[in-house]
Amino acid sequence: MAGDIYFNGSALTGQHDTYFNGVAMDNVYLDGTKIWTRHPYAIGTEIFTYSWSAGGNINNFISTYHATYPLAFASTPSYSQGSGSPDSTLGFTLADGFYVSYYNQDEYGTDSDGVGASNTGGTYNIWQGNTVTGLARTGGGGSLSITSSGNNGSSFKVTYSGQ
Amino acid sequence: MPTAEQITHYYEGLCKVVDNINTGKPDDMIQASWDIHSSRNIEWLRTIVDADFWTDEDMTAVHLIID
Repeated sequence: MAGDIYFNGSALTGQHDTYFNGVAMDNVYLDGTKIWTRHPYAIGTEIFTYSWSAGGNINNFISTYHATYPLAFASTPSYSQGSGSPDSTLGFTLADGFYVSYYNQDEYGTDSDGVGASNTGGTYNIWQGNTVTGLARTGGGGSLSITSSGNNGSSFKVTYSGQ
Repeated sequence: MPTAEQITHYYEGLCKVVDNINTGKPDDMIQASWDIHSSRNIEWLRTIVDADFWTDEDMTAVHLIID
């Protein structure tokens, strides 16, 4: 795992800070077992911000954000159309080391301390109706501090924690 | 942990969610959307009410909805 090698008591946290004969390593193995993988991003890197509106299109999340930042996801997001147009939801799971660091819902304001309980991984659900939108944390423990459905638009930011 | 200012902000949002649920479906929202909207908000109340950052906030109105 990233950060599993320590030097002078500190975890190696850079993207490429393990070298062999002057060559930066992507992976380090000990007796055939992978013990370290380079960080795909510098810790604290803001990977993307996604915004959506009531009555809009959230299916583009898969074709744009998942397609552009596949390392941030543990699996392909799943889109579901509800019974009343434009009701729809989209579920996604972040990969270890990535977390929702910011969530804003137009009616209810901002969750600016991040994540409720964790700064790595977790399952989320994006939702939109004809007048409302929101984001819910549905797996991995904890809860966003702002509710998962309110008037008008919403946005959230995914950041790399490296954990 | 959130700051005292953030906790106040979150509590205000929580109270607003309670008020909106108790008020019922707005005229401009279709029934299918309201069903999902209200259930998502109630589910959120069930999880946020147990958050470890609350201090002495009154959760009586929340429990009247979720219990």
